[in-house]
Amino acid sequence: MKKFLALMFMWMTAATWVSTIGVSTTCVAQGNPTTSTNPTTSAAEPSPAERSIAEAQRTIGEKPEQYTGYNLLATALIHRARETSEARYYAQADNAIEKSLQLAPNNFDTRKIQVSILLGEHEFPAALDAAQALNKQSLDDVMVYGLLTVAYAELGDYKDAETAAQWMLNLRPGNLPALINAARLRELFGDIDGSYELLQMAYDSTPPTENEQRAWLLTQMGHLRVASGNTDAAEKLLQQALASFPSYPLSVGALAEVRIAQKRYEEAVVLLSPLPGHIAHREFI
Amino acid sequence: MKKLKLLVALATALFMLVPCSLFASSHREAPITALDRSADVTDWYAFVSYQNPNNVTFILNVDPLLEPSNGPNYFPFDNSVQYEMFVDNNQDGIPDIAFFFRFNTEIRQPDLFTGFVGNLAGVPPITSLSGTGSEGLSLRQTYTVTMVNLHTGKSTLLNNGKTLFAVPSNVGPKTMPDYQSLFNQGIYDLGNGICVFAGTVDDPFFIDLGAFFDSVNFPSTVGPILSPTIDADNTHNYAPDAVAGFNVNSIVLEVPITMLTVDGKIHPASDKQAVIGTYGATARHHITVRNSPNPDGSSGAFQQVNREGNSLINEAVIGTGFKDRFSEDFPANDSQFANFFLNPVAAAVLHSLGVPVPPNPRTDLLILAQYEPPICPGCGPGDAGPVADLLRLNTGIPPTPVGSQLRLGFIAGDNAGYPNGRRPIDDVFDISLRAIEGILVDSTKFGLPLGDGVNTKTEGFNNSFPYVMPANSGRNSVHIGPGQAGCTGQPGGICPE
Repeated sequence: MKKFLALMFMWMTAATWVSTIGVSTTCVAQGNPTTSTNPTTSAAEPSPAERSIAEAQRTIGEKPEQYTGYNLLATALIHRARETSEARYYAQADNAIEKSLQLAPNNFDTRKIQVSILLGEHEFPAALDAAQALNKQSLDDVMVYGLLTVAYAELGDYKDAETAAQWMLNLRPGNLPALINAARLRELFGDIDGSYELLQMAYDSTPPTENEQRAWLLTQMGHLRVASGNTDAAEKLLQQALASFPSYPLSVGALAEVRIAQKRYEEAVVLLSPLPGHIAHREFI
Repeated sequence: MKKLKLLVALATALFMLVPCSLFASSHREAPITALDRSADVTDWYAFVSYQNPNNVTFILNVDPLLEPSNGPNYFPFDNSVQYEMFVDNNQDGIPDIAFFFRFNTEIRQPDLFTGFVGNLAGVPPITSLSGTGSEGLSLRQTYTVTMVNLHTGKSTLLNNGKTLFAVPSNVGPKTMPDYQSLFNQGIYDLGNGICVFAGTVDDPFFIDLGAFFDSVNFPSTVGPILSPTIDADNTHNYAPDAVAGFNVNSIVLEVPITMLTVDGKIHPASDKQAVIGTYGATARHHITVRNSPNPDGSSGAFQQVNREGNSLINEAVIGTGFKDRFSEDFPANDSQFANFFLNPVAAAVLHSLGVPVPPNPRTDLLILAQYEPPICPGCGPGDAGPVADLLRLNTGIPPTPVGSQLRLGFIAGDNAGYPNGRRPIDDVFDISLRAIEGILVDSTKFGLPLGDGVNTKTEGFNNSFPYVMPANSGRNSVHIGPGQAGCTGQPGGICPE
């Protein structure tokens, strides 16, 4: 397990490094568009999350007495954490939520965001307790079932995770979070094709303008193709992801997974080489 | 373990997408609907057609606040969503007739970098939805219209042998030099008095969204209590129309009244059989976490995702934690939400602002949820039916001629207006505010002229089928905000800060 976690750590840090330096020789040679944008810096055009952060900060500046601006900021920072695979954004999101709760104690939406941060920080028991409390407060909130699904699964309670995910699907058929949660559970249950089917549905329902979201889905689909031994299909999906959201660390890391499966180890090493001093995304440690 | 790690990444992925509470009429109202834009019903309209009083027009708008310039593929309808229109014609709250719309998307030029191109690299401008002039329509959608008798299960394809094309978003004048022509091409006469249109259009909803959701922070010179001058004005705006310049996806269907009433006849307004209850909805296939060996077992029949009858019920009346349940359930089961009608939070908010409101329980608001006079003058106590969020329309009330229609509709004496059905011109925000205020109880005690000062649609109205305006141009559209031009009722047309 330690070896696996170490690999995961290296995988993610390498992915982040590749995106940080913005160069992947192998990928460029193959027409990989990973050099066109760097999601971990703000040097070029701001990413969707960076734009959201700026917008939230503007909102806070205009209306510092309202909690909603801090919720927007926290949500944007969580988004940025995903874009960059950098853990520091969680701490910043935590600070924003703290301020939000000072302004509006126990606000339901704020507490949902807080639970998502707890999950990102691997505080699974605390996240489950908080999600269960929210669920008691509002029995029919789909997003709370999403939090419960993740918390249960992380704690190994797959039966309750499945129940919560099915509630999501029953309450709001075809909603994206439920599709993605259900896809992950299918993968956990060994149903790779079934998992892919749901991710494809999620992808088809994601607006073309949601570049990062689409890249995320394509990356997971590529991962499933690697798992089923179809590296050509995986490569195609990941290149599509990188075209949608250039230099996406998750996609670059998954591409390394493909290179390993292809026994192109040196190219994988380039992708996986860690950046000294980089602090990995906490959820991948 | 790796999979579980990704699950956590997923969790963050989910929650980062939760938007702030920005809604128009029903724009992104439910927490999860915001993650399913294409199935998000923004507005539902039903009215006796101005052009043909023997017909009823339904407009189902989905996918809110579309930025016209947001390419490259803009905003296609979702192939996996079934778009639905329902009609109850016997006062039991249960639909008797349904119209279903399904879309199919073709990518005609997979190597093209954008869904639409014209006047560029040898590709001619887009002047047609098919054939010559359509070469630049790489992303093109067709659709089917099916009528279902929900009693017999009989299903009738209404396409009448025609291929129906959805009108794409208005990319701009270089790509689409005559967008009005494309818009007109999307209007189909299916015979037997049936007309249909589907496509991206100007969002007909109008509201000062920012002021309202900033804790009811209207410009001090405008609202929330309107001056007599502003209140009487049906054609000018005194505050920014926050939806101006945005598009929405729209499906418009016009059918003879005789296709809708319980006995296939036209009835006078005094006859309860003239009154129908309607709602628009979206549905997706039911899915199970476990993949069944039987495909139908894991991805089965369509299940409702979102619905709208009366405007603003889900966002202004139903509590946050219950919005998803409300969206998923059927109108006939709405008695479970009756307390939200009888004890509306919005009324308490108005009261906190110093607006007199009647005490709870607010049985007056049940006029929106049951078959009652004055919308159904022929309905007796036994005809009210269950509490059900249906947009009720008395098809026996003739349409008010264009030019005489009033933005405040029924409460201003324009009996063909909301909440007797809903037309694009109806200012449902102001009407709903006043209903919640208690104007139906006693207009002398609870009749302050509440409103946001946005009295009309910036882009105007289309007074003939499909009753919606062509989409705003991606190249040239602008939005309206405080301090900007666009408030024609204000000096210099500048909107107040």
